[in-house]
Amino acid sequence: MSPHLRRQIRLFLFQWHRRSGVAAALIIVLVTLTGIALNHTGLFRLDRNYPQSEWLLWPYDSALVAPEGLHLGGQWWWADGQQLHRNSEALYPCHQLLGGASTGTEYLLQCDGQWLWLDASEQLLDSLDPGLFGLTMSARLAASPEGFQVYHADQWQQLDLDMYQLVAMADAPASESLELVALPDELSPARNQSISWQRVVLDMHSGRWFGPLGPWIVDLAALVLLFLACSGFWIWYSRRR
Amino acid sequence: MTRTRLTWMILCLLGLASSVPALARGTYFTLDQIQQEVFADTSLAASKALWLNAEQKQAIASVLQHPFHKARIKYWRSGERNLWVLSEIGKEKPITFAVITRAGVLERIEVMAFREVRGDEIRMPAYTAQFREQTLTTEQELANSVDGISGATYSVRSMKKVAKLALLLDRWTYAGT
Repeated sequence: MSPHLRRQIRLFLFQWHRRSGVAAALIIVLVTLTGIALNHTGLFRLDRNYPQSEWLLWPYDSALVAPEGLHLGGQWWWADGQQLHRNSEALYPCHQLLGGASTGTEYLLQCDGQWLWLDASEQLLDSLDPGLFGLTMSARLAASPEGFQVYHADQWQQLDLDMYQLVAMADAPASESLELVALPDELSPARNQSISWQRVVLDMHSGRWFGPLGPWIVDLAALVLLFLACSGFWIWYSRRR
Repeated sequence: MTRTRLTWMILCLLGLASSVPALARGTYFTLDQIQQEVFADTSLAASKALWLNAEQKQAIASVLQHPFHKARIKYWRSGERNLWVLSEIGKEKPITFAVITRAGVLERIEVMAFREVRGDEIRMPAYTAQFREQTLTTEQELANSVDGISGATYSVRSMKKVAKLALLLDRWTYAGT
């Protein structure tokens, strides 16, 4: 290759090296920072924290579910993924609230993993493993002033929490367990309980956070980075010669 | 051996390997089953509840190494023998144990329900045999050492905590507290 042609190529590459570097700089900075953050997910606790900012969560509107709870005995009962709450007070560990019933003086709340039996002052009397009674975690519950009832083996049975046994009932209970309903706004602790920072940062890193065109733009930036590496090498190498 | 047959064997082995963690989960004893095994005549076993004061809850929290909130613990008694049904978190989910104690001595421990994906080796008789005749020291530790199991560290830890807890509760039933 003649020295003149090499100089021409170098000049061309140098100009485009600068232009493409400036053009891709913002995306490369974003991808670099998010990549570093993802490499240290545990250190930054990205998988355990949930962003709440509206503008950060705009791509996930359809995936975000309004927090739900039970309205029992004039109180709102709900779980935030870690704790059972009565209104705004955190009480006991409970990953997810599935249902519950109240006798008026006692509560039986179906958490994922165990049922919590509480007295009127919200003291935890006992936690029950429904599997020990042959029941599923989300078995239908009912309550009356006499106690709690559960639907098992195609009939309603009295749940004897003192003897730890099911007793057959003659009649069906008057009312069944309540359905979970959306929490009132003042109790909704956080709109987002499911999209972690890890997910958001990963989606930013891949470009998905920016919409359908995002991954293509990040791909383009990656190609620009490749071009920068090649052109930079060529500029250095041709000058050296 | 043909290549096709070798491929099928590898696929079968992979399928078997992938299903192993799921096999760990299960309910191995219901309440009725364990009562029938423990008590010769279940009708003579009295259903009891140990109501806990703040000091006892603190002592339990110290054994379990996390806060303990329950106001009562259910147990069944026949003669001097107590049956405790206790749950403790393994790695992520609770493991339910049945522990049989008699006058401060652990007679038997069984896994009733195991919900983790791995670590169920603790329910093997060869392993649970290490807990027989265990007692509680004044430092609230098991008197004899218990071997660990590689890959079941959390389950082993839970079993040890529950064994200690049952012996502590057993002591309280005799102290009349």
